[in-house]
Order: sequence, then structure tokens, then C-alpha cells
Amino acid sequence: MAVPHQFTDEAAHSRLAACTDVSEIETEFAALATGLTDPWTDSGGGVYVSPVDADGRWFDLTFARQSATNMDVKMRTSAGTTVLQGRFQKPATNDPVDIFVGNHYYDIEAWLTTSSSERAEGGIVDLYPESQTYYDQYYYCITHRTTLDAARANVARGYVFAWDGAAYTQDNHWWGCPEGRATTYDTMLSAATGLPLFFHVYHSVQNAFAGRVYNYLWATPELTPWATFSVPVDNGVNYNFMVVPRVPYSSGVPRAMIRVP
Amino acid sequence: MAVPHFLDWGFRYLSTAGITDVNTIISDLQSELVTNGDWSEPSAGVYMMNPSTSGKFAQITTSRVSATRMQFKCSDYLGNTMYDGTVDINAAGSEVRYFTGEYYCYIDVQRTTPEAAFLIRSDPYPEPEDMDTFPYCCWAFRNSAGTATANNTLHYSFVMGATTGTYGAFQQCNYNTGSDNTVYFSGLSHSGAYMFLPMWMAHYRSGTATLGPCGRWPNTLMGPDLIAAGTELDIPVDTGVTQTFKAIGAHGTDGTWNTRLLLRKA
Repeated sequence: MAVPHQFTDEAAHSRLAACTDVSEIETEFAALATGLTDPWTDSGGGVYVSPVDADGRWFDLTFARQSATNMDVKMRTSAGTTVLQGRFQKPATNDPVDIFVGNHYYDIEAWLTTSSSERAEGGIVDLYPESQTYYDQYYYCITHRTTLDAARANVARGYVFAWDGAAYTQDNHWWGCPEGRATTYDTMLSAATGLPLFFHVYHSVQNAFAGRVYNYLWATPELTPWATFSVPVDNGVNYNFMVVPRVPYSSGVPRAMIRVP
Repeated sequence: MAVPHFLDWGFRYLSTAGITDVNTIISDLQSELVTNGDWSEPSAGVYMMNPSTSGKFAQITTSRVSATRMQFKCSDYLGNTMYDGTVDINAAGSEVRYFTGEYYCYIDVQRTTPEAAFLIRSDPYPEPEDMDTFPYCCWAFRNSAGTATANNTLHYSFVMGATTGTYGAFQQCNYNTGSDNTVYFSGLSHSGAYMFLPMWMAHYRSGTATLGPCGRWPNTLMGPDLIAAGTELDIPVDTGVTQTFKAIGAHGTDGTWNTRLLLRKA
């Protein structure tokens, strides 16, 4: 056996237990991202460049603090094309913020309640076993709000901006867990043991498979957001994954999990 | 790497052309399941899976209703009837394809509209082999009166329902992989290559009103319905390892989900 390819990305995580200003988020993100073994580059001015992978793929982020509770994030492709620019806000109260960073992705979750968050996330998907460069639009991104601070119409997990053949647009791009139509299949707890089962998160563009999301899993909706599970990913190998809020759009109600150290 | 557990079961494949009497199907099943397999035949025309370590099994009762109609009744080790159905062949003769293994028997009757009958025990790996109480699903194209069973599409099968002891026809696990909500499963990579996924089984969890997964169909893959029934494909299942799968015609597709079932042939 072997660890699935999409879990070979590094996984860093930090929780700001009481974040008072979004500038703390950028500082913490920078520490995590530049501290990876294959690190991001801090280009200054709020610009962070993901490490160039073996296939020449990378993207960059630009953070711009709008206020103590409002952060603007722009994600660009390696060609300088903007995938998405938008914002997330944190509550005025000093609630926690979770930051997840790998070589190919990032996710920032500003807690609203114990079960929901405003987030900004983005990255490059893993096209393995196909060539990592058979197409160039392998990016995804989402921010909870637009640059006008309006909440997006759909911020469900998996409802991200990705390539639609002509531009990066928002749609229901993440699938992969077996599910039933309507409500006939509504749990990913094993029928035999009651234990949770986990499934790969597939990315799709133009209604076709287009890779897996690095260090993400789908999990059953019964799991509590922010809980961490040790998940076997190979014979004798377990990785930790943290449940993050928001369920995907439409039928099926799995939750996403992101790998943590 | 390793061959996925659900694709690492023993298997047999047989195709018999020009069958004009279902007694030939019954004798073919005896040959495939009992003589050349590890099922048993506790009484004439009754084929029983090899019991698990705790004694669980399911079985098929076959009988000749007429020259062109065969009973295919499935029941579990507690005596619960899963479904009492039938399949028809053409009076002028039909080809019948048999896909069998230790824990499955799938009959694909070639007619203008192919007819299916199957009994399958899921592979729960990596969960314990013998933990599930009702890991079985079955189907027959027609009911005992010969009327087409409702929902003759890939994702339906009879599994344990919410009421203990009562099996019902429920949708099994689909993969919704389109990037919008109208194209459910393309089965294609963005590069245009076929993509194959396991076929998951689900049944109602004991004491709950939820349908939960209970393992994968052995030696079975789900691909795009662009693959024509009867097509044979060599599919890589591990580094340097390919297996041959044959696309199913009967119960093998679902128009909404754009899927095609494939069972191992070689």
C-alpha cells in the first residue's frame, strides 16, 4: 500500500485562540507557510508565494487588512491571473481563528459560532495519477465575502471558484463521497460498526473529474466541527484531520476535514 | 501499492448463448457456483453462499416457472426473504452472462432490454469481515408475477430496511461528481480518460432511520455510461496490474447518474 498521493502535501495548522485583529492572522499564516520544509516565500507587502512544485505549479496570495475585523485576500495563478479576490470577517469578539497551510493550499477559518465560520481558502488540486500539467487551470478559491463585503450567495463547502472553460466562476466543484439521491442516503457512518467512514474530495471542472483536493477528506455530517480524528491512510499510517464547518451544497451532507499535524 | 481489497476476490465468468429453456440457466449456476465455486446446494436449485465464520449467508432459490421464465428468490441466513423475483429469456433463445465469485452472483440476460438478477455480499474491508448483520443486496428484473420491478436502474437494490427483517428497494451509493447540479456523474477525467469508482452498498443501520454504507461490491467498478454494454476493458488496479472488466447491460446503467456497472471477467 502507500499513502494516497493527495496526502503527501505538508500539513501545518495553528489556532489563534483569541484573535483581536486580522493582522494577527497574516502574521500567523506567514509563520506557518514559511516554516514548511518546502516553504512559501514572503515577498513583502502581504504577498505570499506558494512553493513551486516539481511540475512548476504555484500560486500567490495577497493579504490586505481592511479593518481589525476584515481581511481582503486575492489569489492569483502562476501566470498572474486573478482566480478570486474577496474578504472574510471575524467577529468583534475575540473568537478563535484556525489556519491550515500546505504546499498547495491554505484555509483560514474565522469562527462565528462553535459550528460555523467565515473562511478564505484556495489552492491547487492534485491531478495524480494523470499528469499534473495536462491542463493549466488547476486552481480553486473561495472567500466568504466579496470585495464589497457582501456575503456570497453560497459559501457551502465545495462551492468554490474554479475553471468553467472560460473563466474562474463559482459552482459546486467538489464531490466524491458516495451519496444517494434525495434523502435516501444520509450518513457516512458504517452500517455495521457505526464508525465514521471518510472519502476523498474530488475536484471537478466542466462536469469532469479534475483531481483531488490536497489534504482534505469528506466526513459524515454527524461529526462535530473542530473535532480532530486520527484517520488511517495506509497500513499502519494514521494522519490527523480536523472537521471544519459548513456542509456542501445540494444533496448529500458530508463535512470536510483538513489534515493537521 | 496493492490491489484494492474489493477487487482481490476470486471470480468466474461464463457466457452461454442461445438459451431457450431456463433450466439451462439453473444448471449453469450449479456449475459456476457449486461445481467450480465454493457455494453449496442444500437442495435442488438452491444455491447458498459459503457461510461466514459466524454462520451468516444468503442464498438463491431458482426454479423453472416456464421455459422462458426463471424464479430468482433471495433470502438471508435468518430466513428473511430479500426479494422473490423472476427473469425472462427470449423464446427464440438468449445469451446469458454469469459473473460469479465467493460472495456474488450476477446474471446479465441479453434481450432487447437486458434483464438482471443478482445476489451480492459487500466487502466491508477495512472493517471486520463478519461484523455486519445484513451485508447483502439483491435484485431481479421482474417480480414473482413476471411484471417488471420498479426502478430497474443501476443504483437500486433490495437491502435491509428500517424495519428489522424487512428488505426494501433503496438507492445505493452514487457518486455525484459533476461540477453543477444537473450533471451528476461524468465518469470522465477532464483529460477525457475514463474514471472508475467502487460501487458502494448501503443498508439501514439497526435501530436508526438512516441508510449507511456497508462496504463495496466485490470485483465491481462503476464507470461512465459512455461505455457500451458488453465492452471489455483492461483497467489498472495497482502499479503494473490490470484486470479485465465487462460492462453490464442489465441493471447496469442509470440515466440520471450516467453510470455503467462493470464486473470482473478476467
